Amino acid sequence: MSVIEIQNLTKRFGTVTALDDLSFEVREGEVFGFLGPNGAGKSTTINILLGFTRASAGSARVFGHDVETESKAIRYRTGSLLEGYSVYDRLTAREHVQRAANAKGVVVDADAILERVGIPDAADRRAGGFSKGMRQRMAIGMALVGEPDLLVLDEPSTGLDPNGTRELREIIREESRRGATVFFSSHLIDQVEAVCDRVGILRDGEMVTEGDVDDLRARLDASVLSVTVETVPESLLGDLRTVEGVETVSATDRQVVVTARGGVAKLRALERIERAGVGFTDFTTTDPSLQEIFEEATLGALAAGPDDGDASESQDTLDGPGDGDAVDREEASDAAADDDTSEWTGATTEGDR
Amino acid sequence: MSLRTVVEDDLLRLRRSPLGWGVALSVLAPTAGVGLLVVLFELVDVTGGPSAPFDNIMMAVGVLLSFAMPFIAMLGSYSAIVHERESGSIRFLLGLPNSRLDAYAGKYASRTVLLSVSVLAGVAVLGAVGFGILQEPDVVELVAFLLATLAFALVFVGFGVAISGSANSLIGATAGIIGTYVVFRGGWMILQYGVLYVARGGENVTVRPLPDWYYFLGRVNPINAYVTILVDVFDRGPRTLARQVLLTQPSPEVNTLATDTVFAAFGLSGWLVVVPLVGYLAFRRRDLL
Repeated sequence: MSVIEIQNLTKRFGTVTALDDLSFEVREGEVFGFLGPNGAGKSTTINILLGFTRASAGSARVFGHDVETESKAIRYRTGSLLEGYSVYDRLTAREHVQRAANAKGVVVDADAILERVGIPDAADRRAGGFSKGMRQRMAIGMALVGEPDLLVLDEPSTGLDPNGTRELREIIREESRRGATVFFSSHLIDQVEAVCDRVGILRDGEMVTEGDVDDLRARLDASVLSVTVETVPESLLGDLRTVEGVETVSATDRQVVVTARGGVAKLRALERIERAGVGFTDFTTTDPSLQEIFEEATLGALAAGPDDGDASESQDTLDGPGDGDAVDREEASDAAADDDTSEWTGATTEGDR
Repeated sequence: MSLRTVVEDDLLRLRRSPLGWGVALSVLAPTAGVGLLVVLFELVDVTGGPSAPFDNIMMAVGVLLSFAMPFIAMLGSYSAIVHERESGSIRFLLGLPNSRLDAYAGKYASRTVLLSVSVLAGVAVLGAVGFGILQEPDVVELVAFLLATLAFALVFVGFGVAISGSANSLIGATAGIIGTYVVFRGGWMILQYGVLYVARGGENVTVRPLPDWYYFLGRVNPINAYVTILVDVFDRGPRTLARQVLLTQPSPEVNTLATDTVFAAFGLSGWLVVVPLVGYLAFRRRDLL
């Protein structure tokens, strides 16, 4: 059964299309990672799900309720931690939690919740004096009020230190074990990878890929094969380049590095190296990380298809005015440039896929 | 349950904020403050004669309120929604199971409580002073004054919350309440004359008698409606200062419902209902990002 059902959802802000015919589902009990660069449309999707804004076209249902006409019923069963929230400076942490309980019509032990999120000593302090991390912990506590059937978490690790992030992951796992469905929106891949059963990757308001992390890895399976040998003759490199499925071949003093798509290609490359009699010593393979899947999906060709794999085109799309917040687009582009993703993308998206 | 939660939370925050106390004191100053001044003058016996008539003091307070109350009431309500939106706390307010109606009505109710309690306290002091010191106090007049002042205040609470729900920023809301005040305080007269100018083709614009609709249009203004009620309750002289300064005098031959207290009360009631309703309808479908 699906907890969240989104069909052909489109949201336009003037001439800007933030969501473009978006469709996906989140199943009951799963931890769904909603990934995407800044400005991809993640928060817009959540804002529609919780009634902060209305879709231009398409439909969205949560627990079978229409998000526009039955929003209150949805929020009774949902705990949310939304990006861009602010606390009430003049209310204490306990009053914040109690406020959430009152709104949901449930009785809670506010102190126990504050203890669970790691700020038991702040119960009687006004939130205006809290650090960012304490505010985030309190907001997570508010989201947990009433044991919600759905947790919507938008960038929940913002402001948390490493311990807080670890505790957040543990809370998410506990909530998942309890039976809650978790919708985890983030641009931090390691956070998503650590807790999510399934991920959907959003780019320019479109779901470019969706599935189990392992399935996505399989779709991208251009893993790296590193073979340690005693000598590296040039003829071996040329021979390896002819193996079907091998994409790139390079070498250092005693190591051959092959990028190959599929297990058969890697096996054939290994056989060629062994037959070449170059003193085969050892080999390692590296599967693509979720980070690579993310980069491939948001900047590269995983989503673009065989005729749309040019890196510069992807970059143009990210920088272009056609979708989302222009500032966010620039940030995403800058971030891509900062962590060398553009170089990586350029190396792997040349040619058809 | 949600509506009550919104009201209680907003009242709690108002109680802890300078805004709540500032608004209450701003209402108390021209009401209870005037009452206390009367007591002070009586104690030092400034005039050396009999104490002032109840009607005169109440009329003076009413005139003060006719200028101050619109702004005080809007000041106490203009940030109700837009501040939550600008700060981001609206993510909590509407992320919890509170409907837009809960949020809007709750904010309106809490700001109504703030202004009503302030007005009640101020009028209670005035009543005590009136019945203790002043000449010819009248309980019916006092109740009429209280009801009219409450209605007058709540009309502008309605404007403040409606502007708050429609504005995208606090600056925008501030401009909205200033604009609203200017329109009702001074701009309305220009509007009346503007329509009269057009209706009379630019000639003999101020020649009396003025048409009935001119008075209807004028007394629809909630400030004018409030003053109309004050004059009817407290000011019995035909050519008193309040009448001269605050309201256009109908010509003797003009006998229209527009200048009657009933129409003024009807006008205030209309604003009381229409403004919050229109404000909610505008807020209901807004994108709150």
